[in-house]
Amino acid sequence: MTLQAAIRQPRVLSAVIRQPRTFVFILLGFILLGYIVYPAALVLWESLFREGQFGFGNYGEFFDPEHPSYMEGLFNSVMVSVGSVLLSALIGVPLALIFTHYDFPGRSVFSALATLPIVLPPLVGVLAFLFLYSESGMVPRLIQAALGLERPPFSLNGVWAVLLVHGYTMYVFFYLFTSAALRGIDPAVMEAARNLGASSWFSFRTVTLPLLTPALVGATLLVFMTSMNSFSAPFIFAGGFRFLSLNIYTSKLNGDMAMAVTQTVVLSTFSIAFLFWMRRYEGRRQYAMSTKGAANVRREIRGRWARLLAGAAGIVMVVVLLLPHLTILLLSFVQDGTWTHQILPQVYTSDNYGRLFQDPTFWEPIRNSLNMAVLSTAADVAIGVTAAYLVVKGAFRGRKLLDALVMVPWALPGTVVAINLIVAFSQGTPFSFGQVLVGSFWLLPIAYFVRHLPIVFRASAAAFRQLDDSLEEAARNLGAGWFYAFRRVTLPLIGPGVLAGTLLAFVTALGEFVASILLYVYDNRPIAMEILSHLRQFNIGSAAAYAVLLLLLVSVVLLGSNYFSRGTAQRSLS
Amino acid sequence: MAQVTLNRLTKHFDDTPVVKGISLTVADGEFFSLLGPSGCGKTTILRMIAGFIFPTSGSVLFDDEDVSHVPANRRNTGMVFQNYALFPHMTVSENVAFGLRTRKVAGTEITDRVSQALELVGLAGLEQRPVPQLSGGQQQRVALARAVVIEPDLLLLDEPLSNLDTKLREETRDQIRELQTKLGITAIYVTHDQEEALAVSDRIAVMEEGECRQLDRPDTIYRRPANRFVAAFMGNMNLWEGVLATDEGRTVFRHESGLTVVLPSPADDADQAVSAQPAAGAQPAEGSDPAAGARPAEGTVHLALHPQSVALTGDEAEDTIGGVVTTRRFKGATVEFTVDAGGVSIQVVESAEGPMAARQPGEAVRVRIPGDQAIVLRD
Repeated sequence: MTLQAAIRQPRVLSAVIRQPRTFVFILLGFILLGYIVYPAALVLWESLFREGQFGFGNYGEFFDPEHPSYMEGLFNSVMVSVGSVLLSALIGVPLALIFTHYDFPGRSVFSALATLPIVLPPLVGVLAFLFLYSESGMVPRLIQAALGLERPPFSLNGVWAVLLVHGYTMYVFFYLFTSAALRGIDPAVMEAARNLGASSWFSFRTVTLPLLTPALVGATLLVFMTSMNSFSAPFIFAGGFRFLSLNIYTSKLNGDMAMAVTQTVVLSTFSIAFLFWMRRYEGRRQYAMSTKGAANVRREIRGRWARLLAGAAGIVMVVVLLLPHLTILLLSFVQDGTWTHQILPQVYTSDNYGRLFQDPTFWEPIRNSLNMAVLSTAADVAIGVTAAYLVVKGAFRGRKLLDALVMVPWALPGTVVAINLIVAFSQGTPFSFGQVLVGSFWLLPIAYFVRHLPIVFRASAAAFRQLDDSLEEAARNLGAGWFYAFRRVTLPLIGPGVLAGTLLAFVTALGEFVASILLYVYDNRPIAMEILSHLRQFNIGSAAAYAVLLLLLVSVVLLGSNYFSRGTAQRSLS
Repeated sequence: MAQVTLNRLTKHFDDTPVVKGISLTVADGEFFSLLGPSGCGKTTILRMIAGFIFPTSGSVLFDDEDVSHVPANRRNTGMVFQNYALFPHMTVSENVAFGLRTRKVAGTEITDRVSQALELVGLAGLEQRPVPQLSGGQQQRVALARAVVIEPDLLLLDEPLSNLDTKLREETRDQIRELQTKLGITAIYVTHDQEEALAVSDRIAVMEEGECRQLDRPDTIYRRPANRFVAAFMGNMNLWEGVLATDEGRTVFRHESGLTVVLPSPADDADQAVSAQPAAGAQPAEGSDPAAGARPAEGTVHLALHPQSVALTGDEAEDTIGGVVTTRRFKGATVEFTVDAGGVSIQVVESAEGPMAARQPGEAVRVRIPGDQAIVLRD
């Protein structure tokens, strides 16, 4: 090693890990191997056995043109994903353009509200849509009553409902990616185009759009992947329609584990391919641009009618965006069993919340979810931050492999993670110290841990990347010991980013539904499962009350996160 | 090619006036600079000329046409931005061709004109290079080629050299001037660097807080600053506050430290008199404050003196004052001294070859202050 290379090595790191290094690596390896690699490999292995016969029999059945039902699920998943991408882009991109380029009354409020759908836990959002727009939903029936029609003018179900839910929740990706990319474009570049004689449309086509392309590709891949992996919307709305992610669940319920693991492998292959395609794009996402020069000036919308129109459009947008949240809130006051054929619920009560303080079992699901979220997030932080530090600041062979291993669960759908864990821990393994985990409390928190590890990892890696090595060196040069340097320099700088990731992992675990439905047992039933079971008994009020509590928990944590990190959250996650 | 006229131009941002009624005319083919510290409104004026923002009141005329509210893309100006604003997703030739494409120039002609323009700025052969791979100086020249290839009526330069290092800055500065002369194009140049403006401009408007403080040829602005602001902005001038008094029929400047400078009577040198009068031919700008022709007899004034006019000396003549050298800066051809003369600090520049150049800090010296070189500034 040359002297210069030696200097460039992060000193603190090498000093800290020279001795404990081996231990850290063994621990990381044990956990990643045991809970990510081994379960996935076992699923792949089992998919190669059909009734004890080794071979591609399962795949033959899956891709059998004579019996297209399995293929149909795959095909539908792909088609719905394409549709979701188009719909999300159609909503998200214009919204980002408008909020970035124009100024009108209420702009900042609307642009903040535009990210609201992200706070909705998956199952809660879908339920809201069910009560709002389905056959017996409030909106179609209100319109029916208002216009005196014989039957509701429209109702949402099947594939269209799934698409709409996806559009509502996933346009946020396009909105955020496009907004960030627009903010990154040097306004002087647009002025240069104007100065050289370009009309608005010409400069949009030749300058803005090409500069947005990387962000659009990123959002496209993300939405496509999320949509392929979506579970709750198909679960509630699909009816007879087949979706791959849902098929896995059905196969498992039907006891056809061979087909379940085969479908799992197919879906994982798709997802991981997308992940790597996306990461390739991320690498060249930013054009190096200096941002010195005039600040971006928003064009103010002038003219009475234009302003009125903008205001009206904004109000409609707020109503549409908030309607799901408000619906859940309204329904949480409905007395169970009283809302049947009426357009709006008639009997309201605060009993659903009153039980909070009387019925001790009411608290159980909330306590379960909190316990499991705390446990899984703590593990995410321990493993995710360490791995991020090693991947960003470390210099050792296998760095890329570690990076890929930690990121893989990000591509894996919740159903896949759940099936992997079921297959792996239905017998004792060294990784579970010989215990059978299926049917125990532990499998679900492990699933949360695996699913949300990439969130903490990504946020921490971004924070470490922004951390200049010379800061640590400066602290050391000024006489700080490594721990003092870490506490006073490193930690304050990475803290906000890591905290943002941690809290996001925590709230996602609180509302988790997909892995939960496959892995929960009575002793650890989480909030989402409790909502579902109340729903099955038509206890709409109770279901909604749980949903409201969940929303409340999520909002409080996210608000706190915003307060503590003051904007770094967005930066580290975008 | 165009003559540019600004007519009582003002711009307010949220009720804060940034440009306060500027009137001036830039002649056809002239290299005109807007010079001033940041926040003086010079860039705002340039952006109004380019059409990125519109005046609050007043007008911008190209020749006789009022273009105040013409959109930027229909003004046929070529602008070089401070950060170049090259399109990062295009190659060098695509960047240069952009303005020709918006003008629907035929494909073959585009190729020809792009390579001509690149040759003009010394970048021939780099056509296919992606922009982010160029050095700062090369990017600067691509920006210049992109601005001139459209044969604009007007070349606008917004601090085009501020991101270059010193050596490259001087080189590029001369190149820009050379190109402008060759093309005979009207140029408006915005800068905060007085040396840069003095070196290249035909005329300079010195701006402060949205007003034009002096509009003149570079040599006049340097030698005869019209007011304290311009004098201070021009660099290391000696600038002393004091009062004028009449003593035995002579006009005398008195500093509170006791330093007195005897000023020549107006009759002695009518043409050199103190003055902030604009040079013949140049029009004073609206908003600048041409001092009265006659020297005011009494009152608080500032006295400005170039450090080259002041000299270290051995003798004790009437126009000298005693002091102690506090700092000495060797600059190669010259040596700069700061002398403390009983509470007043005097900047002196001596030739490095001269007999006084070897004086060291701490040494007692006398400084000759020639009254006939001094400029009396009323504001």
